[in-house]
Formats: sequence, structure tokens, C-alpha cells
Amino acid sequence: MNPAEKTLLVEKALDTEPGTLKPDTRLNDLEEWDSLGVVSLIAMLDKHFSVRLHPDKIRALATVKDILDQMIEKD
Amino acid sequence: MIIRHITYILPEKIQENEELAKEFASGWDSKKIFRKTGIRSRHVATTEKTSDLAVEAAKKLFAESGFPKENVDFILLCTQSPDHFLPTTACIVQDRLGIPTTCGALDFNLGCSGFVTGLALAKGLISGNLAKNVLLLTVETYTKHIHPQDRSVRTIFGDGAAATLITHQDGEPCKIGEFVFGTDGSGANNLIVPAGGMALPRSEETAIEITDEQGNTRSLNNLFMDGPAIFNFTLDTVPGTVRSLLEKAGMEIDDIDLYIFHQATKFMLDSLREKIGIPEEKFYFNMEEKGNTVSATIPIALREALDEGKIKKGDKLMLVGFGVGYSWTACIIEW
Repeated sequence: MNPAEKTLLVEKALDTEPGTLKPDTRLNDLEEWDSLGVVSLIAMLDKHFSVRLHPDKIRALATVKDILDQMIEKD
Repeated sequence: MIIRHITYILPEKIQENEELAKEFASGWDSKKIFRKTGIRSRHVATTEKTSDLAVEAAKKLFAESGFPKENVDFILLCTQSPDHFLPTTACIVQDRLGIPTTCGALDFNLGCSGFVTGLALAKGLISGNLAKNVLLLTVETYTKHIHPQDRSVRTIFGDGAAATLITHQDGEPCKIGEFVFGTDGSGANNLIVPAGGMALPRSEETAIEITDEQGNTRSLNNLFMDGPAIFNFTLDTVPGTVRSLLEKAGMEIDDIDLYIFHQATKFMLDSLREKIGIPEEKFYFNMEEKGNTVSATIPIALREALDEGKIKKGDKLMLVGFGVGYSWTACIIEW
């Protein structure tokens, strides 16, 4: 999956218009970065990448790039 | 031993998303609330207390079923918003219903796992020859714990009460099957009303309102829910619980005719259904006009599924309750 496709998955999870998120977008600036947005993100990462974001890891995320870095495809 | 009858009542006042959207300080319109939660409206108790809702649900059960209330020999009442710390709300309900004073009665404090655990308690009482006709009341008014400006929970929870009659007649086979239980108190602080109990009595300090980073306001006297933590918990425990229960019962996923999970949020249910691999047509959902009524969600869903003709005699149902505590219980019943 290329970075554009991954970003699209994040945009869908965070209910934002496609093309609006950049790697350096700060999550706290996003209206959708609330507990429901975080839950959507957890679900997306679990479903597509078998990655589980636990609360302490979530709190450490600051930018969209931090999320993209979690989206590692397993072989 | 069978579930002889189930019914439910909902408080009169209905709160639609439009009304909630007007009350919130910023941001959410009614379409957004629906999109995020799958809920359009929920019923909200105003002056009704838990015993009022319990009595109303029980009276409806006796009227619908024709079962004589004099034959009830045990009352189990599940709630996390009792009328008082003491006495037991079930005792008050016994008196108001006019159930014989020879019955046993107790409250038990569970939320989302309450109905299925209540079935287990009823099965135990009946199997142990301690009772024959158990009235299980699952009654919840979480909205009374919720701060009006806390969108994270106010959009999700609704109030409701269900009454279920579990009975046994000699020679009748047992239709309430295997159970799996689970408890993990490390999740206690993720769904909690911090103040008001003995650990932290209410005071001027506990009433201080704080607005969090997401713009949700609450005090220690109000319900707090860490949505992401709860979601992680359900992804961690529910799929394994379903598998354990199927294994215990010697069954496969396809052997179950209908899965009725605790109606937590639409998103959580969709995620769980997909993760476990349950086909949509076998997975019941009915939160749109009720919200999350905590321990009442499963019996309400069961009754609605029956009314919609989705359950026929002999069907195998899996009921899975999970949430506050953390606590989770699952069982298989044959209708």
C-alpha cells in the first residue's frame, strides 16, 4: 500500500475530506481527533494492519505522520 | 428451564439528536451524531426512579404473559443506579408488586454484562432447587449520571428496563445452556462514576466541573468513559469469548442462528461482527431509537427480534454482554 492509499485510510477513519491530511498535520488541530475518531483509527489499524493502538501509544501520537508510521503491512 | 417471557418499557421522554445538538456548546449537528453513533434518539428517565421502571416492566410482563405474580419465588434486579445505597431496590419492588414475602430478592451491580450474568444466577438458583420462577429485572438510568455537556456519553446512552421470567417445570428440558464468564478489574477506571460511593463521597470538590481537551465537560460525580480503552478491551476479549463458548458447547460459528451482543455502539458492533466473522443476517442490531441501555440492551433486543419474527422455536442464540468492570458474560440458549 503506498503512502497516498494509507493517508486515504486515515482520512476515512477520521471522517475528513480526501486530500486534506498532510504528514505534518497536527492531530490536535483536527476537529475529528476526539474519542470517536480515535476509536475509528484503532479499528482501521486493527483491520488492515493487525496493529493495535493502546491508550498510551495513542496519547503519544502528534501528527498524521505518526499514524502513518504505525501502518506497517505484515507479510 | 426456559425463558418464559421477556418484555420491556422505556421512559416516556425521548431525546432526538436534534435536541442534543442544540444543547451542545459546539460542533455536533444531528447528522453527525447519527453518523458517529448509529443512534437517532434515546429515551431518558426524568422523575422516574429505578424501582418505578422496574415495577412498570414487571407489571407489563405479568399482564402480557398471564403468569401469576404470586408464583414468583425470586427477584434478581440488576442496576447501577439503585434507588438507595440501602435498602435493596429489589425489596422495594417486591413490596410494590405484591409478590409474596416468601420470595428471595437481591440487587446485583453490573452493567453491560448484567442480563447474561442474571441468566446464569437464575439458572443456578433453579438448578440448585432454590427457586422455580425467577423474575430478572435489568433496569438502568445511566443518563442520570451523565453531565449535559459531555457529548462522548450523552449521545450514546439511553434509559430502559426489561423484565424477564425464567421458569422451570418438572420434566422440562433446560434450554439455557453453557456460559463463559470474564472479569478484569484493571479496566475499572475506564468506565466509572468516580464519586458518590464510599471510596469518594460527594462533596463540593467532586462537583467541580472540568472540560477536557475534546470539549466535554464533567465532574467526578458524573459518568466517565474512555472510549478508546473500552474499544480495545472489546476487541481483546469478545472474539476469544465467542470462540471459547462455541468450543465449550461443541459448536461452530454457523451453528448459531442469531447473535445478540450488548448494544454498545454501532461502530463497536460492526467491528466485532467483522472481526469474528459473523454474517450480517445473523447479527442483531437495534440501537437506533434506544441508544445503549446498558443491562437492558440484550433483553430488549431479544424481545424485538422475537416480535420481528427473527427467532423461531429451536433456534440457537448466543447472547454476549461486555463492558463496565470490566465484566463479560456469554451464553447459548435454545429458544
